[in-house]
Amino acid sequence: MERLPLFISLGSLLIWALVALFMNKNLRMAARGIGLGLALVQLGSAIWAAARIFGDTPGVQYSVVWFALTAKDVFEIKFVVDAAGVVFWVALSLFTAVTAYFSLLGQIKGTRTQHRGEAVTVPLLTIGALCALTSANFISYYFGWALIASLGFLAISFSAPNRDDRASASFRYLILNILPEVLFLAGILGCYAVFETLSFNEINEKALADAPAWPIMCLVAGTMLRSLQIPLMQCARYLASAKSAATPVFFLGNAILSATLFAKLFPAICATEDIQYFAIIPALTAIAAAVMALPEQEPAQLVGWLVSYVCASVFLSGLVGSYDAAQALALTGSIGVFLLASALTEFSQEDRPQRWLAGVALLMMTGLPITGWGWARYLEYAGLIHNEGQLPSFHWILLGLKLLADLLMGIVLWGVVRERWMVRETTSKKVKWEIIVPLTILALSCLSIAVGGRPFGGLVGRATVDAFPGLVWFEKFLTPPGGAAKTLSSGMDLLGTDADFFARLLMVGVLVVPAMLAGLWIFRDRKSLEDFRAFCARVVRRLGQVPDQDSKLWSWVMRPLNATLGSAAAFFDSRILDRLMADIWVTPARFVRKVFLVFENKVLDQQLIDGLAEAVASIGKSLRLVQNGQVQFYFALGLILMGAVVIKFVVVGG
Amino acid sequence: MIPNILSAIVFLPLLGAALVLVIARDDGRIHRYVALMISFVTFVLSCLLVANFNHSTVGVQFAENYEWITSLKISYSLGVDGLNIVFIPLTALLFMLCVLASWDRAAGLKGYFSLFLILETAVLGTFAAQDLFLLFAFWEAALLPIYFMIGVWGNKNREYAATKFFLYQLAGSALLLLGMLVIYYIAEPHSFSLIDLAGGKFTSARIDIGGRSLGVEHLVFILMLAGFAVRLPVVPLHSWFPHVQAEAPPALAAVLAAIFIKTGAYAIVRVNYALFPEAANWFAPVIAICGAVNIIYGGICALGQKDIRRLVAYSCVSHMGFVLLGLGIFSSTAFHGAFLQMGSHAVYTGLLFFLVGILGARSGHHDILNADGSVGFGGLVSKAPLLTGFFTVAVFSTLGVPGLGAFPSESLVFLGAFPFHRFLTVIGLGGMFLTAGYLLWMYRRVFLGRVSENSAQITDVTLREQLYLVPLVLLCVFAGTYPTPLINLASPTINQVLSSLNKEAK
Repeated sequence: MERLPLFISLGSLLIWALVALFMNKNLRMAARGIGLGLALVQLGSAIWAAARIFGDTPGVQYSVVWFALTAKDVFEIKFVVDAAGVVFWVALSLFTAVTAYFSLLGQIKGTRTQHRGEAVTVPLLTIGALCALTSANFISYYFGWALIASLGFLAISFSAPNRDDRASASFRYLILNILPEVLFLAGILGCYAVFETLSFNEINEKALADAPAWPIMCLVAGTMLRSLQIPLMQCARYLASAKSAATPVFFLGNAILSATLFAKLFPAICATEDIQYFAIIPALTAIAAAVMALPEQEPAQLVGWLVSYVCASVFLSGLVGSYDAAQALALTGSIGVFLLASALTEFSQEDRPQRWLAGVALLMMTGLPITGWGWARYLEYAGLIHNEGQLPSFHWILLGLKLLADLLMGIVLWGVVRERWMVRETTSKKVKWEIIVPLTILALSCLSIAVGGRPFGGLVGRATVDAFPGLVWFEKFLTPPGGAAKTLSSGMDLLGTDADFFARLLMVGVLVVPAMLAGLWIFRDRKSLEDFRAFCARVVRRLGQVPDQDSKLWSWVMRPLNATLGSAAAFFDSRILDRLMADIWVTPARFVRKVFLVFENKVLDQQLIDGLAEAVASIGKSLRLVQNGQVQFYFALGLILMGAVVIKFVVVGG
Repeated sequence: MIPNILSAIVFLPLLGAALVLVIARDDGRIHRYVALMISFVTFVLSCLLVANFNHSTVGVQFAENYEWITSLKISYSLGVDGLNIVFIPLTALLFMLCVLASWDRAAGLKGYFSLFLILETAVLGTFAAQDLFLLFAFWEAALLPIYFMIGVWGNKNREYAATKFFLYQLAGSALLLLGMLVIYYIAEPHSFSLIDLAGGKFTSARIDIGGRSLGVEHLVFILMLAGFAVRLPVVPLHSWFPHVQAEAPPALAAVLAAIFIKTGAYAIVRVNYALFPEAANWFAPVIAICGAVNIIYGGICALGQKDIRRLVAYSCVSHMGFVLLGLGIFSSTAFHGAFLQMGSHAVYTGLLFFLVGILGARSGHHDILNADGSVGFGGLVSKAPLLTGFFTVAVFSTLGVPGLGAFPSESLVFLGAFPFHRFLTVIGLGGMFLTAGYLLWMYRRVFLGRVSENSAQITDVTLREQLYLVPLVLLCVFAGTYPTPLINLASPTINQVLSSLNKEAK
């Protein structure tokens, strides 16, 4: 019974993939419908599992023997469904269901008919992500890892809108996956060699003792490299060419892989000496991603840099030992990115509703306190402030770098919101409710998962009261007095004791709901939008600080960034980093390939082998000459040979 | 249970070959049906063999032992154990599928199918033989059908390829023959029986070479290994393989890559390891190094290929390196991985060569890139989606994607090898990187991108083609997801071989 939700989920996804695979052109509509139905089934099973986990079942672990070589060498596929994983599972299921819905919608309207290969990759990508999420050992984790890698390649290859784009995108994706995989596999092999197990729990137990650090370092480095971090960050450019229905699912898959590794191996990672110094890479990546995003004109590519930035944030927190923050950042970040990518995929530039939805997604990513991402950033800062490693000032350096990155990315996102979705004219005023409604439901569901899970045990992490002075303030002012607090505490066991709950309650109750209502009212028609813009302009002029269209301050900020830093970053990316990567990987590989081919063809085949054959042939010819049939010649030859033998063994000595 | 079932399995194809030969010349249809029927019955019998195989015991089962040349103690001895039980049905299946794959062949059907069935007998006999002389006889018997099939039904440079193949194999056979004779004379008492020799003793004579005293056993081990290495093929004795694969008819290319070269790896364990465990321990590091060299060398050479057949051939060289790497490390995990790799490689490489054959038959060429640098195919995904789907499975199986062919085997090889040879294992991981590089490079140029002129007339796979592709796809998935039955069949014997090897090491 306890295994049922996961089996139902995996089973429904598998059936979905098979249905998509075996459909023909006439049955595509039915296949899409079945796909959506099965996606909803797996969503239901995820919610069921979540209800059990947050109800009476603390966590479920089960394993299947894959094969046994000897009594000792038993390889198992292990799964675990715990509180951390189940939240991602629900979010993942939601995203997959929405993707399936859009697929059906596109089919009905005839606006976007999905290729068979593309249709198959969506459920399989979800299976890959689900395997990684629920993995309890490296076998099931790597299954998810490799499935996402290979299906991501196929998804890009099949579904990129332009055929030329496919080639470059799939190549970048290939590099992004293969190079880190070697490191990652070395880490797995190292864990097996050092700890003699592939199980996460056992590795965590053994890693607490004095164990070699390099396997864990390899694992973390492999996962980081794959998650668009320096020096493979420029591979994020593949995302611009890979915009498709499957791609948002892939975004989540990538974020899940990063976060899951920390979740599964957190004690081992924390116990690994010096691993926190790896954190400088995501800190620099976050800055680089923001800098690259500044001059970016292509919205899809902006999403690419955003993914790199989100993953950098996740790694930064994870490496400084702030797992709650890493988990929160991964979940809320992937929600924001998914919404943004969906909005970009499902709407055209001219659609007015796109402004609203993509604007919401972008605002979520700016770190407003009303959003889950904003809350996760609080946790991240808290983790950085309180992590004092071996180098006394290192965590302050990291914090400084991250604040700079957040500042730069904030400028980018606010600028994009303003320029692209508030200033640009649109031609289509039709409100696509069939798209807005499910995405809004998704956004609200995910928002509630992100910020409202505290009463059920803290879904996206928690901050201790003393993490920030502000939280103490919340506790002082918002804790219900005396008896009321006790009553509430006995009811939910959390109210009145945790400041962070009240902070969230305040955010949702005071900011989110009124802001949403106000937003819906303001955006009801074009005139109201114009009025709102005029109002904003007045406020801006009065404040003189927040940039508007004519603000000198805005141009003063943006011009040097765009002209200097942005151009420099673009130049660096295309002229230096790209060429450097080519010089490091491509040119030597070509050279070695040529050398090997020359060796293979000219030396080994033509010289050595053919030479040997010729030698045999020439010896044969010589022997043939000797066979002249003259008895006296043979007699003379025999005498010479005998003489040689006599000289060797009698005169010289044996 | 059928008496002498093993002999029936081995010699039924030979009987079929005779039948094909005696059937009067007509339009050739009857020859195909006879070949198919015979290979099908052989496959069914081999399935019966597996069904009745007791995998909990270690010794040789279904043993058939008859004296053949009494004066030289040569016997007709067949039997199955964990080492060969998987390969017999696999061989039978692949030959049956190859008959289906050769269905369209227009000319010379009588000769073609009779040679094909003779080859099946030779390969099955090589796997089933329990006498060294008999094994050698079957080993040699495989050469002639292949030589003629390449020479008669091959591509443009068929004569060169056939000659090259024969010369290489003959050189290997000469070494084997020499080693075999030495084995016979150093064995006490003299014998060719692999079962007796495994438990027997050899004279402890030693030879001084360059100031180092070397046991005769060591020399024989090297001789036999070199002979088997030609067939495996081990770098630098491999250069016959890409030539032959490029020139052989598609079905034969599939058999060569999937089954024929496996006989080399199988014989190393059956003969070298079983007979000379001490020498095996002495030489194991070299075998592991050869494995790593194969992986990298084959991979890099594959990167530079513009002909799809040669690319896949070099891929085989690289992937047989995983087998060698596993065989060079006497840990249970690596050894099981090597055996599993032999089985799964047979399946996904067979599939790959079938597909390459289909592609070549449709387009008339195998060029990934033309001489002017333009793509030879391109955009096939929209022209032939099913063909693309099958190719995708084959490519991803070769890549070692979880759930498909090579994943469990390569994982086991790496997991088992890493504690013993970290450097070689990391080199092996580099081979995976190369595999992804050359296969996905090829995949992108053949199936993705713009539809080129050459691709425009390529049609999708037919129902008959699906008939022989689908079983291999299913086997790829089976080997990738649930290899337990294969491991259970082989495990007791493998563990026994390993225990004897490790006992010598101590």
